[in-house]
Amino acid sequence: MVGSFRAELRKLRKRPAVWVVGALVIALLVAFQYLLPYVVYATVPRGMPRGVLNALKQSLLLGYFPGSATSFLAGLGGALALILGVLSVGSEYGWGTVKTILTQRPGRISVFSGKALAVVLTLIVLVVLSFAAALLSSIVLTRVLGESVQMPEGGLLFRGLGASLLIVLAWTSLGGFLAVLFRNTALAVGIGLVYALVVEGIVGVFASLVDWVRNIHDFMLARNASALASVLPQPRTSSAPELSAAHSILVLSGWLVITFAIAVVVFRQRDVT
Amino acid sequence: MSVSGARANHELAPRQTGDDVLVSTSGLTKRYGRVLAVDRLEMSVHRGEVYGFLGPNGAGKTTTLKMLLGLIRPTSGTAVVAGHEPGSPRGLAQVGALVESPAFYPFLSGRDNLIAMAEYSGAPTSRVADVLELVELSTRAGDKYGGYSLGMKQRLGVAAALLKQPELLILDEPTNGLDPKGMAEMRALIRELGQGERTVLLSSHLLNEVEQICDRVGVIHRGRLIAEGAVSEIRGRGALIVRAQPEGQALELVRAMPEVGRAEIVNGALRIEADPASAAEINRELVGAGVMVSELRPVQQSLEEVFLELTSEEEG
Repeated sequence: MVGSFRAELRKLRKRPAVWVVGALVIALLVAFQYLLPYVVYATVPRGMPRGVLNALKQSLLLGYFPGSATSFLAGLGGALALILGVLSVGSEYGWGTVKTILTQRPGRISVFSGKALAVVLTLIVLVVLSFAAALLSSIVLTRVLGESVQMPEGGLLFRGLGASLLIVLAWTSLGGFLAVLFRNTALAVGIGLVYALVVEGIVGVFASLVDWVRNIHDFMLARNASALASVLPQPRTSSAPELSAAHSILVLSGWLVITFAIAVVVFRQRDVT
Repeated sequence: MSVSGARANHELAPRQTGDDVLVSTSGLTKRYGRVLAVDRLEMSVHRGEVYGFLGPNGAGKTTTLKMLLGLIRPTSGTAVVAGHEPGSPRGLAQVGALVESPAFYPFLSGRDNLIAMAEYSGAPTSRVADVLELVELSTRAGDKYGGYSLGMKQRLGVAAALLKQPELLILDEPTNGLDPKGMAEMRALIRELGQGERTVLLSSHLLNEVEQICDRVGVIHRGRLIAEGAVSEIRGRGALIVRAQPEGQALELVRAMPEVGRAEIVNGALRIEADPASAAEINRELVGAGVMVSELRPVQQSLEEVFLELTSEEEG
């Protein structure tokens, strides 16, 4: 498996699409969590409630950066992580390299495990870089806003990193699972994004009206990713999160384990035609 | 593309295991729904030979090779490849393969692709330079695979198959899509790789290719192995064309000769199945009986003729 891991890392490191997705995650995080809110705050639209304005300002400050970064990774970052998962597995089918790899030597489980480990390492780097980008952005804006530069406590930083990693792992695993299932990139990305951006949204609308739909919604991926992110200290304009951190961690772990396990079984059993 | 010198000879030497039969199948069958792709296949490839797996497109060649490599699971039957179950890491350690068209990562260079494959296979990465030299891709090894011509892609595929110094080399239509020069170069390379102890299992639908390269042939048609043997055996013992007058008397005489098999009149001449070495004896007997012989020449059936005969018999 060590050989597979090294080969997968080589491929991920040298693949332009991986760098593009990584750059997009960081660029969009800085744009949507810092630049855009700052522009809104600085231009102060008429009629904006004072509480909202204050929360907007607080979200830019250094003390809240772990929550800001995790919130982003739970939303748009999750969708990009899903794409990364699809690309890392699905492209092998598109290029026909699955058969090239499997005729080398290592065995299917070893190939898939090596790939999974390499993707996990990539996600760790991505999460750390995202936090670094959020840290730098918040330091700059804290100074610009004339507030005192005060680092959040270390425990909060590690909780944020851990939560973010679990969130992106779950999304990436879903992406890999869809790619194995459809042996394809485009279809897997399409279905994954429809689930993330449309299905969960529609279910969320009905969840507020019907109890049993809410029960289902409480076990959905994006819902729990957002809930876990919202456990971290963030300036709030609404009530406290409805789901506990333990519940969200369990559900996200379930998504991660189940999608990964099914993907491994399908990859191991299915013919490479 | 040529292989020469001490280094090349070293490259050509495979690692060895024990048995005489390197690939054997028993009742190997693959069914896709109602389509029977491979039907109770019984084949055996011996150590050190170049085995031609011959059949028209869609006959079941690639499906069979994929089953031998563990990419496809058989519906029933068994196969043993290099002493192991198909697809097992220990078996694959002795097998190099190029199945269908070569497939590599377009964003990696040829060299990086081979390094990645060496890492997967456990072969030392120092082998990469050797196999690149062997297939004469060293000067273009730094170029992205996506920019390679089809011939270069095929050669990279062969290079990847050789990384492990395999005892068995499985090549599926390796000259597909190549221009005539590329085909000639690839055939020369395969011939050289097949020298010595290495075993080559070459799938092809090109009869002249198999005839040029292979020691033994298996003919597959509609998923069934309809013939297997040395190229000379498959071709049969040969035939003689005899122009003689009177034709009818000549036909009766040769049919009575013990050394003659089937005899018939084709295009105004006698076509008789007989060992070409018996031509002088047949001529003596015909002339002795008062028949005038104006032409007597041996003909050898080409593999193509045999193949068409075999497949038409199957269809009939």
